[in-house]
Amino acid sequence: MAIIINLDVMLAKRKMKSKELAEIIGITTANISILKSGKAKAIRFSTLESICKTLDCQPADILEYSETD
Amino acid sequence: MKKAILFKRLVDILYILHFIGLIGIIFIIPFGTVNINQVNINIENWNLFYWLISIVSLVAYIIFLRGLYYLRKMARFLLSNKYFSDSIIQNLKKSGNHFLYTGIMSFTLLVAMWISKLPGGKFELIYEKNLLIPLFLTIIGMFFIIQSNALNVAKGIKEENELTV
Repeated sequence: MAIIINLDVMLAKRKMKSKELAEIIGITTANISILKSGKAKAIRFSTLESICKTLDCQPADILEYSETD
Repeated sequence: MKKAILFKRLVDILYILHFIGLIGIIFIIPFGTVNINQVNINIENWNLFYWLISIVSLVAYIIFLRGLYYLRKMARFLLSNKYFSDSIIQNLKKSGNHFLYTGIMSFTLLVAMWISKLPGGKFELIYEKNLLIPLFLTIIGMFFIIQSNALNVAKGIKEENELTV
């Protein structure tokens, strides 16, 4: 997919674990895993908002567009 | 779930009865008198046209039976409650295709029989179940194909929904 999810990078920068993030934003670790692996087809604004709020970052820090498929 | 079980049982019964019927046809044709579409002619007096009609009818019947087999297979997967699985979608489509082919073939045969009577000076327009069965089979076949396409679209939407975080 042309959209790359850099959630693991942000998590590493904030020294936070996936499980911890999942608990704070209220989604399952399975969904975090789907997001990190790039298998996700869509992301809700509410989820993105929660992630940005928790990791204190901008959507652009998590989502990246790449022309190479 | 109870409806799915009942559906499976009914399809099973229909399939078995038709299978017995097919065996019966195969054994009866060489020995007895068989009526083909209102023509009461003894088998010894059949010309090439009647033989062709009976062979095509038999082929259409076998295709119908195959369609019923795929419907039975689909009903089996229906019991597992996986409505959007590939096995259900594919078997429903195959079943629909077979019913559609049977309907078209049966209708063609009826038209051929009707045309064959024209040179003899007979012009018959009979409203009866023989005409309605091919029409019904065609409609059911097309409905199954449309339903399988709808299930395929629904499967894609379901997958997308599941992968939305």
